[in-house]
Amino acid sequence: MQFSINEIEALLSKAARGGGAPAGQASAFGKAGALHIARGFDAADVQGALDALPGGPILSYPVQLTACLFQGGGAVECPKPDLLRSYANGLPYAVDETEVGFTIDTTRFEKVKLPVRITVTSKMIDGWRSLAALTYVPETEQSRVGGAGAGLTDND
Amino acid sequence: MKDFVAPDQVPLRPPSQVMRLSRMGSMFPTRLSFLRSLIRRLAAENMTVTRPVWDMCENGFGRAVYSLNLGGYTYSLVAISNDLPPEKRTDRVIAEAWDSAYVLYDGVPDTAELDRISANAPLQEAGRFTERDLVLSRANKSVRLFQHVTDALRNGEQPDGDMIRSVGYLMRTTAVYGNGKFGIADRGLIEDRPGLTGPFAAEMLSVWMIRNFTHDLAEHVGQGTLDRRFKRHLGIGNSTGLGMAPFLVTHPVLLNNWMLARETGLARVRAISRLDDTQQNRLRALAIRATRHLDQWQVPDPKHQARIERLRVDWGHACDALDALDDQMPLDRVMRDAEKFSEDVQELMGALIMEPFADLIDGLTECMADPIGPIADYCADTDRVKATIDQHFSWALTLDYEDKAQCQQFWYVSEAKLEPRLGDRFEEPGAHRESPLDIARRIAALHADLPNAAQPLATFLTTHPQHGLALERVQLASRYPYGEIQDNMIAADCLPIDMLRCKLSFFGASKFDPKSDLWTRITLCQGAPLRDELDAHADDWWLPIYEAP
Repeated sequence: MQFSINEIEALLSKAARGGGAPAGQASAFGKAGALHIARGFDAADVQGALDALPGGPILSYPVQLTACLFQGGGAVECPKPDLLRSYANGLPYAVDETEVGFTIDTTRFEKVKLPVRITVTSKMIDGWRSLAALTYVPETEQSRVGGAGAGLTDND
Repeated sequence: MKDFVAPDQVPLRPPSQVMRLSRMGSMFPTRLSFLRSLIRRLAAENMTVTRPVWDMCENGFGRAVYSLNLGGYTYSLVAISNDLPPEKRTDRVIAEAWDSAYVLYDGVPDTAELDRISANAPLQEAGRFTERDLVLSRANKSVRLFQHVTDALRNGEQPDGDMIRSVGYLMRTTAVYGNGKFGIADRGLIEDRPGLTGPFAAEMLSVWMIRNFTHDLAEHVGQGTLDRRFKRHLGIGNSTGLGMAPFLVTHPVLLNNWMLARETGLARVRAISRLDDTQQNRLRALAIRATRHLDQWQVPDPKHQARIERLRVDWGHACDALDALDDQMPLDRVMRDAEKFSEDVQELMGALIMEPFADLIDGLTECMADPIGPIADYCADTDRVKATIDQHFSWALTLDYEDKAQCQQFWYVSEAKLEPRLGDRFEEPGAHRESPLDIARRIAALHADLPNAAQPLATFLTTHPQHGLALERVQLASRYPYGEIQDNMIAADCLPIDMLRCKLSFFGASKFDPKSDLWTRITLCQGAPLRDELDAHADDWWLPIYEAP
């Protein structure tokens, strides 16, 4: 199935939150995950991160990048390709490949160019939707009528 | 190449003054508003809009295509008009059918693409779209005005001016989706295109073209020509609910850039040392226009109508400050005088004094997008985090979030329609699935958990992952000082309508007509040039007033 990048980013963010990730890390994962798949890397990396919740890369990768970024960037060791690199590419800074990983240069701004569509299997999407659904609140009559503020009909 | 010299400016109003919900809920459109900058661009390009497809039955049901060239690209609005039974007409997101549906298309659709859009656009959220579809929208008729206008035209007459003035639109949109929703194009696809670089530019282009369509549709059904002055006054209505509110919380960089541009513009005009006679007369003429606009702003809600009536009275007094403008830095004095009155008066005066100074203001629209992404000032350790919180978030630390009044509301996404909603934490289920819009509470919790002795931030984040979002916001605060709403979003007295008004004023909306604390009707494009009026005067439509033919 084909999706926009924003659809996948939003879905992954909610899926991570539904899977138990804190809000900030879930949001960073959504961005990195969509970027990862959009750049042609293995969606299984993304699925693996979700499967590892409530621990795993979704919590540890932001820590790794935090340790690098406060120094104004620098080298990060990481196998290739890896979801951590997509986390770095989601930042507004230049990311350069090295033999053992990559470097982040916070003095240069770069934005990764992405394709217009992302292809993801239905099975994966269904799983992410199930996780995302854990962040939704089932409707009650009270919420349906009053939660958005308007009446149920609104004509003039 | 000439060096750029930044215009003089007085100190900016601080975020502690500007970023309060009550003030954000008092904002008016300015010449920085997105519709204004779009129309300027269309006029500068001497835009011509064509209508290659008009396939409507005599009752006005069918499809149409409008095309224009902007910045070297061709865009088309595809409009689908449906026969909607009255019982299905509702502005709520929960609706499943609408009078009309729209797609802003990248290029000119061929028949196959038109058929695809015609099949999907009426389904809206239930449809599926492609990267050629840039914006998705729908609109419902103002049944009483549409019927009246078409009846009048059919009888060879013009409609009743009072109805035109009081309703102000033939249709109102109930959603305008962009940025990848339901498979439409990501904003990244168009964000570098000339004319669409500004925030919501594609959405605003769609709205302006939809407004043109509503005029054509009424004339087609009525088989007559609507007076140009009526058409100019007929904008496009909009019903906006909670769905729009979280955006300002989840996009701190954009919020900062919008508010900073506005505050910079205001600071620039306040620094003008002397005004010539032409500038003085223009300001007074605009003040009179604002007075007439306020006189024509009528809403059914008694509470809001009382607020408008108070504003009318205060505005009259505040305008006394414009009588003599020969002094040094007169507009700074005018704004200081306005501080004696309500925030409504202050924000209206701020919008007014920016209006005549295109040369000082319009370039700021280039700074209102977020082309790079958030650039944080990264903290090495927890002491640095604490210092940043103390400097930028002291407002969040003074509240007791255990107090029922400070945490009574919770934001959530409804399972049924995936729309943001607001619930009562103590009366409704679901608070455990709360959306993370409680920034103030999160900052306070982070502050409380910071260790006494400095700790590397990475170490702290490992042991306190729940503070990831708060840490992110703290590290953005220095660079984006106008990026946070400095109020508690979950307090019992938090009014989402204030967020809606702030965002909608940046769109260029006027005639706010709140229906509750959670949603409002507005009018967009009222007074805006028609598609054959994109000339040298195309930009003069701030706070439009109805002129009877």
